[in-house]
Amino acid sequence: MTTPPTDPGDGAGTPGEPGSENPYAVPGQGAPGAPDPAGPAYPAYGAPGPAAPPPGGGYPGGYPVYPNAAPVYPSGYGQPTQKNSLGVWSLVLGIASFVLPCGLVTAIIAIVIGVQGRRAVRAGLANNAGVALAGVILGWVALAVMIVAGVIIGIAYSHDPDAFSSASR
Amino acid sequence: MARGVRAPLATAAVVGAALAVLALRDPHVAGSYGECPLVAFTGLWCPLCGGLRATWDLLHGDVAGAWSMNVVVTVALPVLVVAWGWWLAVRVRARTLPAWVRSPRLPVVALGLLVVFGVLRNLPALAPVLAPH
Repeated sequence: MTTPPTDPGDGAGTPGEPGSENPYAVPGQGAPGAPDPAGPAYPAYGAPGPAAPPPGGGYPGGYPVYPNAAPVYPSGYGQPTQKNSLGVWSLVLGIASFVLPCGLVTAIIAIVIGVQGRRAVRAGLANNAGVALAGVILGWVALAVMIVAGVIIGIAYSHDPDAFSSASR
Repeated sequence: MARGVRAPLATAAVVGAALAVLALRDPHVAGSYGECPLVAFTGLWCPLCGGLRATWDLLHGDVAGAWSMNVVVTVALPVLVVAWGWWLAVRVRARTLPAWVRSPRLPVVALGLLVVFGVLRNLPALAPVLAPH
């Protein structure tokens, strides 16, 4: 997959080189201010550059993207959301990692899927970078909590094997 | 081979390895996979309580046993197997899954169902049916 010119939601998007006349110019993308029909880097909200159309065909909302369309995309709505489910799955699994005592597996899956969701945002296929990031963070925190809790329980158990005597699981 | 096939195959490898371990080590034996801290400390059954035992029962063809351990897992496992096959088929043909599968609502609905099940199986009236027994 090609790297799109925009990098929304990540903080890594550069507003322009110092001294550049075009505030939307991306470093290393030719002369500042020169119109680039292949891929002008507008800071649209999760919008893919025209150079990186989403695979699998089209926008659900039937929102056409022309290479030389008006320079301002109308806000972030109706923008690509094909892979938004990745971020939501990550968030749900991250939450589940705290709810479920056996959340080790869900935490790992939350991290993996959340990273994919963030990648999808960067590729312009999703616009929920925050949700995906929340899933990744929850996953890591849950993982850390479970490792710490496991060590503590393990130590307690080694001191007193009857510390957690209970019925069946 | 199509590059997209990797993810379903890797998933199958990991899950298959886990199932192989599960088939060899009976979760019905108390403590065979450690004690669940939630049950140990609170006595509550989480939505997945009995899940390993239900999976073990299904692997051994005991549907009734699985049903008595965890209704949701008993229903979900065959669904997940079919879903995996669908996922693989879609990737082999380089298509995409239908919109309702990729919808962000699906995970929210799944979480909601799990929470409802977790509440129901802890109600005294329903625990005899829905809790692991």
